[in-house]
Amino acid sequence: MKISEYKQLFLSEAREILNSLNNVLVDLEKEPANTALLNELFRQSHTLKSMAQSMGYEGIAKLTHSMETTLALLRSGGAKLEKDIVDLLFKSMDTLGELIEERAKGKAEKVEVAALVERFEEIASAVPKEKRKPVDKERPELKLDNIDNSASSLGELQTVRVPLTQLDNLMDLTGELAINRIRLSQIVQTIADSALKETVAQLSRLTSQLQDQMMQVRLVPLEYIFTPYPRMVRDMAVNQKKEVDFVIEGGHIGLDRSIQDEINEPLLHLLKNAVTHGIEEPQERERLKKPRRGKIRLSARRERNFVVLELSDDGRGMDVEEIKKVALQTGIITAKELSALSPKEIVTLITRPGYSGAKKVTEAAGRGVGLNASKIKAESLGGTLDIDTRPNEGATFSIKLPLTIAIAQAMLVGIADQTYCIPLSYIAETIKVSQPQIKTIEHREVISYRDTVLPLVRLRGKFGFDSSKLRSPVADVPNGPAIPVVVVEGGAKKAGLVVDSFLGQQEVVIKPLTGFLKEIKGASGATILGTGKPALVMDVGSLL
Amino acid sequence: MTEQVKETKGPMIQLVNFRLRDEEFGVDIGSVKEIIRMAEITHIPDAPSFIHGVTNLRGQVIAVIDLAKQFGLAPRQDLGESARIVVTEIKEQTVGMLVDEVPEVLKIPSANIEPAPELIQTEVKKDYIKGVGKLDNRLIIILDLEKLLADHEVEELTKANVPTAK
Repeated sequence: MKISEYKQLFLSEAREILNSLNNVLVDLEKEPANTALLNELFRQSHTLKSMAQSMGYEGIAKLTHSMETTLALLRSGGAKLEKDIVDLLFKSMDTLGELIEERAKGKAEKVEVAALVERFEEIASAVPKEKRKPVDKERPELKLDNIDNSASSLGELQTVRVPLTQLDNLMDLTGELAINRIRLSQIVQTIADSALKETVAQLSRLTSQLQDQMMQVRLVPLEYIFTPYPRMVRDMAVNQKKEVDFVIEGGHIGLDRSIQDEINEPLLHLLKNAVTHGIEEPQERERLKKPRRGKIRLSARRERNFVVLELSDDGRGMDVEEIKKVALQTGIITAKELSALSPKEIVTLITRPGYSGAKKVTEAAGRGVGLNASKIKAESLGGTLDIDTRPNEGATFSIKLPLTIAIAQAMLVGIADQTYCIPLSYIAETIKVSQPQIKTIEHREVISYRDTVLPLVRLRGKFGFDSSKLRSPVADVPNGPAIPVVVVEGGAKKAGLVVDSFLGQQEVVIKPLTGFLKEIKGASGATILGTGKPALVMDVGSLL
Repeated sequence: MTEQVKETKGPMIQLVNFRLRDEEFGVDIGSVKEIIRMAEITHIPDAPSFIHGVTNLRGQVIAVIDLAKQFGLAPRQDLGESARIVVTEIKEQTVGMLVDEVPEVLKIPSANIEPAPELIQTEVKKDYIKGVGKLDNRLIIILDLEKLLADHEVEELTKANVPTAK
């Protein structure tokens, strides 16, 4: 192994340990008498110290050594876990984080540890001498065989760390293989050779299995993004003088890593909202006859090919009547439109762009800026964001996400001379509409669909194809043939997308649009068709 | 490789030379991944005009930008047989540039490159020009791809922040 590889290993392990140190301390702060937590804290600091020493990272080693000394005093009963020690430990962990990231950037440790080390020494010197010496037999964790055990327990997992880029390459190749498989199947249909057909069928099965396995490999436990949350929630609560119990459930559930990277920010935003706007001040809660400590729960569960993330709090919740008022004031909706909405739909108004920007958003009705962005993010990943709330009882935000965005069933449609993919997860059904069925309400074309009014979106116009050269053969002819319409739904909204033709359904490998293509509206990704030509995957959420 | 360098005194710079309409351009060979024949391009709705579309580069979907449009050069009638996509990698972003022709790879002595673009008449924004290389009677505009792409990103981001009034 090269030195640089040791360093990578150190960095990833050090970050993990730091995360876990933070979480153990968050728990210990709540239960100062829990010796198991204290021992865990001690053990992990020690591991980090040894690792830093072997790498020659002095700052990290020094600081963890000081932490260890103080923790030993706590264990021997020489010192008590007072608030100032907790704060000092948290501060040290932040500094450790900075030191680790400096090393990651290849820099020397610039951040000063001396002040922190001094504080630790002050604490130690305040302890009477006879209690100062940590007794060795009380430190069973430090015996060599025990350390070896903890190290080999990693080996028992039989896992390998693989750089993400290699995984991405494998994924790309598997995708290419799948595309070629589809192409091959199409060619084989024109050739009458049963042996060939059988071979291709077998190849198809194997490719599907390979894709499934690849997908599994990409699933990473949600702990990947969840781990830092307890410390963050704790800090936010302390800063705002609130008391919060934060529980995470289902951190072991796997979700595609790239989706986790994307959903992390919206989740953080919702967490922040829950602490800031959801949970009341302790006095306020007592006045309302609620437990002093607020509760925030983040849970994950798997529902078939989706993962549902639920963030609930038992705070002040939101009042539908208040939301209505604000919505009308900000003019994001008319009274007439409002009257047609169900209470659940009214609550989703708070995710509208104009809503949160309103000055007069009250505590009872507002959850701050950024909800709109969170919703858009969830939808761009092929998921949904739902809200359930009752005044004084709290709010629950549910984000439903596909397990992986890499492979999806999609419908191919023709628009002008281009082919587009619409993910099947959005499609309610496909229908044909004759011209006289189309009515116009408030300058929008609509049809009546299952007793509801369904707005039509003409994709030719939307995508800028309305030049005369590419005029739709069907859409604009009075009494012409019926128009193909794809009925899509996302969240609580539905629309009919007017296309030129239905081209069939197939499995597509969705590739993300990167760089400056990232910001393109209307497309959430691209795929490569059997012909080798790229086709865009429609971002249905943005069309609704 | 038609151009033979007569003297090899001093440091040399290797450029991928390409033609857009009547002008000759060059980009540092280090930023060019490969040069491919004109491939099928998929149109992107609502994209800024400099984005010509996306194409398939061995399973990777990459953006293809239309440099001629970006530089305000005369519109092209039809892409000829000689049209190529110069695939570049800048700041870990793979981007294809649509050009009329890629005749050669050039070696120019650094001494022959002048920073002052004043001596050349071109539509290209001066910010995008790293220098002008002189080789015999030819003037080759050497592009600063990082600046060119950085500008696109800025344009894109400002565009994305404007709410559409549709």
